[in-house]
Amino acid sequence: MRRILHCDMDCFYAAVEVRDDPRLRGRPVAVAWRGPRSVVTTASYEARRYGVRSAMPLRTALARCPHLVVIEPRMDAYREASRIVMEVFRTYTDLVEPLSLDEAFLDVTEPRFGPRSATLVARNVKREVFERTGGLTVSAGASSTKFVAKLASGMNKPDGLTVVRPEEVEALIARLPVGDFFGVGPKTARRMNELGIFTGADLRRAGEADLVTEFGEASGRHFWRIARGIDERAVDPSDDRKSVGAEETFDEDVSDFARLGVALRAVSARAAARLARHGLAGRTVTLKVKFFDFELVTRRTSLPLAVADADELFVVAGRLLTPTLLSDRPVRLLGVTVSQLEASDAPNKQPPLFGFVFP
Amino acid sequence: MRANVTKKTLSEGLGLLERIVPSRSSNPLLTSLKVEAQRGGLTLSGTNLEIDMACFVPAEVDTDAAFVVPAHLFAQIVRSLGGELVELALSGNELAVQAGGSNFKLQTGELEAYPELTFPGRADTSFDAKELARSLSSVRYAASTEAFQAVFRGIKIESRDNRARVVASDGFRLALRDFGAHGDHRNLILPARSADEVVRVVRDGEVGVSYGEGTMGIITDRVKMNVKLMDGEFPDYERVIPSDVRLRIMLSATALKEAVNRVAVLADKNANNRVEFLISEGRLQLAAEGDYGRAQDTLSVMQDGSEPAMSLGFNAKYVLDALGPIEGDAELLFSGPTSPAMFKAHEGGGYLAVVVPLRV
Repeated sequence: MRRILHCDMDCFYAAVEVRDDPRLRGRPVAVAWRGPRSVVTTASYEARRYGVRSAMPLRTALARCPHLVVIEPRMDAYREASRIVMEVFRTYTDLVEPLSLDEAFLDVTEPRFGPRSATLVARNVKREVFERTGGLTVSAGASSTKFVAKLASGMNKPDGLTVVRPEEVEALIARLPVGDFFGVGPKTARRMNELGIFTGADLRRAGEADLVTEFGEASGRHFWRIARGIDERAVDPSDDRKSVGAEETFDEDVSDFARLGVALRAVSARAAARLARHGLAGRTVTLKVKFFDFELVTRRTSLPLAVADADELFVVAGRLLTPTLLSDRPVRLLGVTVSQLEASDAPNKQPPLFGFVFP
Repeated sequence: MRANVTKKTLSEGLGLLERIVPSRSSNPLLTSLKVEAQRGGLTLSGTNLEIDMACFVPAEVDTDAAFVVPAHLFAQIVRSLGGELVELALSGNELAVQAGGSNFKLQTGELEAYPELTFPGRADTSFDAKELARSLSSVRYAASTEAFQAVFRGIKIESRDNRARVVASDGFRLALRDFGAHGDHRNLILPARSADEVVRVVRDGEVGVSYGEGTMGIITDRVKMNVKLMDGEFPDYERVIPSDVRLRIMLSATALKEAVNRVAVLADKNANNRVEFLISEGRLQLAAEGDYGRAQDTLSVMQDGSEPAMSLGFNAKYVLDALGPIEGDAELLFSGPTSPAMFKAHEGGGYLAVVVPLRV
């Protein structure tokens, strides 16, 4: 049985701001870039009381909470705080898998020192993070799987510590809405609801074969297993990059196909610049389009060779961006992501004959 | 309508059409073929929207008629029949197919709804059938199968001064073949998949060719095809053919193919099947190394050029593909360890392959 912790900093960006400017204490704070298309990155608990949520358009947030204090992000400060937090995690185990600046899984089955108790490790982590960051709090969840540990960390925020024992997992999962399951997005959740599957208990009643028929081999099997609390994903400390990309949210929705093409070229160029910075190229190119109504579609293609060049990325992404895909819907965001990465100067590469391979 | 036809000729015709007509389509009519029966024979036609094909099958026909039948089922039925003679009879919405003791009744489709196909009328000019087929076949491998590679999925046909040339490339290697051609031809890009079908229908003698708006017509004794051409500009390939040859070797193409095949057994599949070519003192040493061990093979070669020795790595598959159309002795011409290398037949024949060595 593994012991896994999921540690999630409470309102991380906002908490750093409040720490660094005590005048903000007790006031509703949102961290967001300024701009007509801005969305809230993080909201303090005071702001959340007014219904302000992260990823909410700033305009909506201000409508709900007119005296909201809006602060532009200071990424350097967050990165520095994050470095300290991850350092604390790593004093207890090598097996730390950061999910972002403010969130990580820790496998503490065999901690570097001290008792083999996830609860005790979590308590120490929380105290040490608080002391070393000058007052930031972290919520921790402990269980035997990543899936349940992550659920647990969200149960008693802020500054919480929730332990879900193996014998409690079944009951917890049974009443969980399907949308909260790992791997179930809003679309899948809607589909499951249409099929009469609303909770983990419903999901567990579904046959594996039916789930596979409905959602495909990989997803169907995954849903069947996760409904039984089976989640064998290990905590993966390798910080291997899985994808590199760039995206742009337009100040105003764009419907004109030619203008989208121009924007796609710019986004491809930025993605290519990032690939170049990391010395990487990739065999899979994913186009991401978010429409005016926030519907998100992605289209991807795998290539016989890894691409890194801006023009090549643009050609490949451009063929995914079709009028049919858009169906005249105004576009809010365009993104290009490259995955299945390899070093761009890898040995034994087949160099092109013409300097380009997409004529 | 009643028609008598030999199973062999009907099967042959159906076989050509079966390759083109899709077995599934959002428009089910496209999975059918149209049969026009006239005194003297049956004309079978079908399309995959890239190629319209009509094939004439000699037959004894009593009255003219036209009908539409599911292409693959009809072909399957005819293939499965015993005996040598097939009897077809159309009555109402049913086509009876009979041979020996077998009797099939096949539902016919909506003739009026079947799309209008277009076929070349008269040939503007012609190619030597064997030359055209051989040339297309020998460069076909170099064309890309990737949807994203646009004109690289096609074979370019050029002509000038009684010569024609076919060129194909997937962006990593290139193959071309020159052949004699009379008459007035156009430069065009033929989709490689359509080229495969052209190769299948042309046999002997002259093949008639006509040029339309974005299409090329192919006319043989039995078959007429209208092939959609590709838009776009084929890259200027002549600039990637090296002009400065610094080392040349000559050896039996078969011996080289066999040796590359041998060492490639241990080549690293994740490293583009790298096979090392080391040339010096009249010897070509091939070497490959992978997770399971290493292999080496040495061949005697005729060698000349300003460079006394050279070492290059190639994708074994690319080398084998390039050597494919070469019979007898092969000439390999090198300009440097990172420059494209050329492969051709010693006795000429107009074929040339260009392959870029792998990065060190």
